[in-house]
Amino acid sequence: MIHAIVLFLAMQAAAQDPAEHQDAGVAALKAAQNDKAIQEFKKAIELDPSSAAAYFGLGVAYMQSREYAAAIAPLKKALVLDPTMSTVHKPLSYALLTAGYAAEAIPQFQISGDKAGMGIAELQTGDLVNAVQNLQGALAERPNDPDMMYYLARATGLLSKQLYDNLLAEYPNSPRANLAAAENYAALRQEQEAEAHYQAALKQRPDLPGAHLALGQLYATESKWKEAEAEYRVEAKVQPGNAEAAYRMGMALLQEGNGAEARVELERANRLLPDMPETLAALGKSEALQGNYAAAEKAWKRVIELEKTGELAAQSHFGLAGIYRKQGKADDAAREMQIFQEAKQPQKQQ
Amino acid sequence: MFRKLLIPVLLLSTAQSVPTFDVSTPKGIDFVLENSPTPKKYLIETMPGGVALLDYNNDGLLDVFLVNGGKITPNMPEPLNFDRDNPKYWNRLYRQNKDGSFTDVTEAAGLSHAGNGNYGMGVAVGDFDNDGYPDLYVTSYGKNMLYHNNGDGTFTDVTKKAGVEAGGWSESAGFFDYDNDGYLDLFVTRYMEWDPAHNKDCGGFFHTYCPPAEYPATTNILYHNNHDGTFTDVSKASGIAAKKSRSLGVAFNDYDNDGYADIMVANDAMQEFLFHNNKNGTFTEVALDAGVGFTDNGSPVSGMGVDFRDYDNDGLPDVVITDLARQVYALFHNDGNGMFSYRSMETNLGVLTAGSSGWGMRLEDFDNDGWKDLFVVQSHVMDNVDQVTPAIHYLQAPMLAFNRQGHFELGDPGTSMPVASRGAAFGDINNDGWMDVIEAVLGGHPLLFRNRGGSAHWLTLALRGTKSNRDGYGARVLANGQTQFAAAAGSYLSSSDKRVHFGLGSAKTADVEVFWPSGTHQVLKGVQADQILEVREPEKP
Repeated sequence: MIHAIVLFLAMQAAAQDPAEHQDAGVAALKAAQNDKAIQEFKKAIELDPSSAAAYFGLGVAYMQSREYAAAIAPLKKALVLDPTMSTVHKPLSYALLTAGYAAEAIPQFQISGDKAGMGIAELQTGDLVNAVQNLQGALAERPNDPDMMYYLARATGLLSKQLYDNLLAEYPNSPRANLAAAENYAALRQEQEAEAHYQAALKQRPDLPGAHLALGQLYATESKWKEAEAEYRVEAKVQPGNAEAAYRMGMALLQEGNGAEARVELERANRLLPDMPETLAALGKSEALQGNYAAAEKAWKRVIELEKTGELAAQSHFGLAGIYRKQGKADDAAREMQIFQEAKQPQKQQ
Repeated sequence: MFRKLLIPVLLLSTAQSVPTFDVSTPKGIDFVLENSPTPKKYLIETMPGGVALLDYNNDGLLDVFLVNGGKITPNMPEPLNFDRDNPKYWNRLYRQNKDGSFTDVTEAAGLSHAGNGNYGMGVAVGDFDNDGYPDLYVTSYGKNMLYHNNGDGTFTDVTKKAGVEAGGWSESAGFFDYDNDGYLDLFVTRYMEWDPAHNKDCGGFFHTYCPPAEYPATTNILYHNNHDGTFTDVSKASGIAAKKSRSLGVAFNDYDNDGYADIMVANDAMQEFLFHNNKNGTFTEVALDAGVGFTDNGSPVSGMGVDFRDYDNDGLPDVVITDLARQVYALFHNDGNGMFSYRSMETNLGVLTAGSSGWGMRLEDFDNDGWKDLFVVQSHVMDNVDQVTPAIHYLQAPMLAFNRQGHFELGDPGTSMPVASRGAAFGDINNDGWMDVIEAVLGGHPLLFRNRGGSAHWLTLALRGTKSNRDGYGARVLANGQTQFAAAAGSYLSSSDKRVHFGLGSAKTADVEVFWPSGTHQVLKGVQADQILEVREPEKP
């Protein structure tokens, strides 16, 4: 009986020691016993309300329990009690951000030097320019982080939209505003409106770089190849060094059945920007149409070197099979067709 | 070879004229193609129907047979019925009168009941028993039906006896004589394994017909004519059933000039089929090796209609396949060594057809300049495609592309009114030497395109086989540097005028050669132009 009383008193004495509750709280945190940790830190605070460590522990325990809003007050109190406690800033910043207090989180992120959190908080507060900068830095540090990819993509998209909106609101009749509006309509597949804005932009600035190319692409999506070709031709004059303009003109000419001229443009595109698989695949086709089988073979083989698999590689194998058949190279043709069919296997019919 | 043949044709084409068409529903034809579209988007709803031009009573005037769909309700009870006993859903035969009007003779001809349970699709025409009267084969989702022409204005359903009911979902069919035994055999394309209970609804919010790959492929059927009114299914033995497909169109020609008819099959969103006739009752599918299976990108097209004729007058049959918008109609040039080259772009079809969706079609000389033009009846397969993709349209006007020495240029088909076209048959309705067109329209009356003609000369040959099949199907006919192949099949779900037509340009006579399927070679020198001439196969070569 006496033994039991001694034990009880010993326990009472232990319970009155804030350090022991603090230690028990830390141990519970480590063991992911979050509820117990919360209780221990609360007792430590009750016994020693001036303990910054106890408030910090309680805040961290709430964070670990995903009770972010509840974590904010003890973490702030810890900083009040000990402004030098630098370890508080990071959990406090994330607690604030997660609970929706992004603006308040920013100074905390600044202190902790956390670019990722900073960028996300800036994204949420609409400071898109700084958000993009910080998120680019964070992604550079964590290049395979899908969260970072998402936030950076969202930030750049919103920034892009914001800039377009500003352009349209402040300079609604400028060539660039018409170009921006045209691109919006084109993305929405409202071709007539897009064409009208492209034409308006070009009426204001006939040499607006990229505008003829974009209008040509609009015509190309509608299979208006002659109109597309005409726009690409103008773009090629405006930007003679633009490989895409040369490539797209070559593609339009191919669609029009003009293999000879297509080849000239595609060769030019390949000189301007060598080894683009799209250009080489089309070049192979134009060479084959002209009966230049050796040149076609060279172009298609290069595509296959650059892209081992994928649609362009499959097309190139198919093209090679065709020219080998025409040259009587039955074995080579069969081999290429076999590779083509294997590449198309997922699409194979029942 | 090409240059040698090109010269006379170029000379002929100096008298080029551009015909126009009068477009109307023919007087006396009150047929409405009842496809019965429902919100359930049952795939069969958007696929009928066929039309045939045939002279069923041998009075020298082409008559019209139209295939109807049937009644469909949103939740069709089993067994499927389609209400085909209801006159609204009958197939119809219209006899042409001497004044160019038509009279409905469906009941008198014994063609009024297409069989409950059969949702109509297409029609093939051929004199399978060589009695001199064209017989009818009607394809369906359900059972197909063979109607024997009794020669007295009536038909008898001989399907059961003949053994050609097929089953499943049949589409285009055609008569041809694959073994040159003098009797017409029958090829039937089938689309897929489909039934209402397993119909799928695609397109999410928009609810659209599903793409073909959503359903399992199936086999086509080849029936061999036993010469006694019966047929034998030789699909397996011949090799035809060795490959499964989603087939919609079929056309015949002898692409390698070996004297035996080959088969070109238009498949939907998968590789096309070219069945090479091995001359021993079997076929080998050679499309990939022949270069006619895919476009030059190795891409499949949504093949629907098909024709197998020589567009560039080099004496070798080429292939044209109609498909959906955003693709272009596929033209494969026969290079002469068993291989084809994709030439849609070089012939300008790429530019002309990128926004088009085509069904019934034919390479035929509509302006009689000596070059076969391309006429296509059009419409997208999805009745709400305008909502899903605003730049593409469900209803479309037909396309006429004149052939200017191998380069196609847009012509005027006589109407810009967009409709939902499907089958189309081609022939000289009024025997004036200028080719006319009739098209079937979903939910509407058929439209007849009467060719007003022009000043160029022409020649039409009505073949009469003696050792060969009576229709002369499979005969290769040459006239003034042009080549035709006698066949009523081709197009989509339809059967055209079996007579062989040539535009002669400024030439007032023609030198004609007929290579009959029997092997007989017949030469006719200095044939007067501007006539319909019966050419009887010599009993002795």
